[in-house]
Amino acid sequence: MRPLVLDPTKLPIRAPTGLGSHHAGHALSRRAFMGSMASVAGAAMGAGLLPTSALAAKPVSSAPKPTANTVFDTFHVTFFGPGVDPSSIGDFNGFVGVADVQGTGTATNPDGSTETLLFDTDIRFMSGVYVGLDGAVHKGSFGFV
Amino acid sequence: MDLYRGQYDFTNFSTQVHDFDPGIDPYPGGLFWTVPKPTLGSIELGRGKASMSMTNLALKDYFDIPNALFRFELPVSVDANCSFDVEWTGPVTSTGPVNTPGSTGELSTTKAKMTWSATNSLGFRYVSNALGTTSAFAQLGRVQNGVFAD
Repeated sequence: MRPLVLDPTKLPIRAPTGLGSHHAGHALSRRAFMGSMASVAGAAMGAGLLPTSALAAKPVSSAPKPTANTVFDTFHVTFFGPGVDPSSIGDFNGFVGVADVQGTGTATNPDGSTETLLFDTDIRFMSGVYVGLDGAVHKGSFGFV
Repeated sequence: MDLYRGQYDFTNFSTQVHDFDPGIDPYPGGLFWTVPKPTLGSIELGRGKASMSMTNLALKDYFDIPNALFRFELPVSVDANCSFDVEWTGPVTSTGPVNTPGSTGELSTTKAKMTWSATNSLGFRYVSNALGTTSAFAQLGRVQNGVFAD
């Protein structure tokens, strides 16, 4: 993922799916958007206050945790570059690879027309050990696509 | 994996027409564009060589990066799948320490090439040209973060 100069305040942002219905269907200011994000985070934190029985149905997962690094204070991802840990998972120890490759290719549109489109990819891998959501150490490989 | 018409626009993404990625799970604070079990070949850090491939990977087409992040277009995405082969070809041109706070390790700059194809549920198809690709940035290394960092 390239370093973004994207300004979220210039986007016609709608509420992400699953947020309060009163937000749906109209543009949000950045403040409202970040407020929505805060409510999501608050809900997640609040889950820790729920009785254990309320969480009993949630399966324990060996899935990895996202990296602690964030973009826009929301998305758990890192850019790539010299000296930058490109891992998208946290509590990780292992091999990593990054490939930003550009080129061309042939696109076939739904109407059957064809055209040449440029491509740009940010492909990564992580292979090693990690602490999963279940708190245990696991071995695994992951791709960032 | 991103597609642009005519020219790249990495600032406003005005020319981007497709964005294939696996999404963020759970959105927005979960695992970012990350999927398990790619097929990895041998990793030779000293030679800057490695490989990764996936076949018929289910993902989404979000059409452009701003929408993939902030989900403001309707529909937000359509179903898609892709296959790709990435090869880190070497040689290593530089090696240095990881300087991300909370991480340690060593990373080497190398070269890469790839081929890939994708389709979406609207009937769009794309096949990359194997020749003439540019390795804009490629890196291999070992990292430790979180509880594994020194």
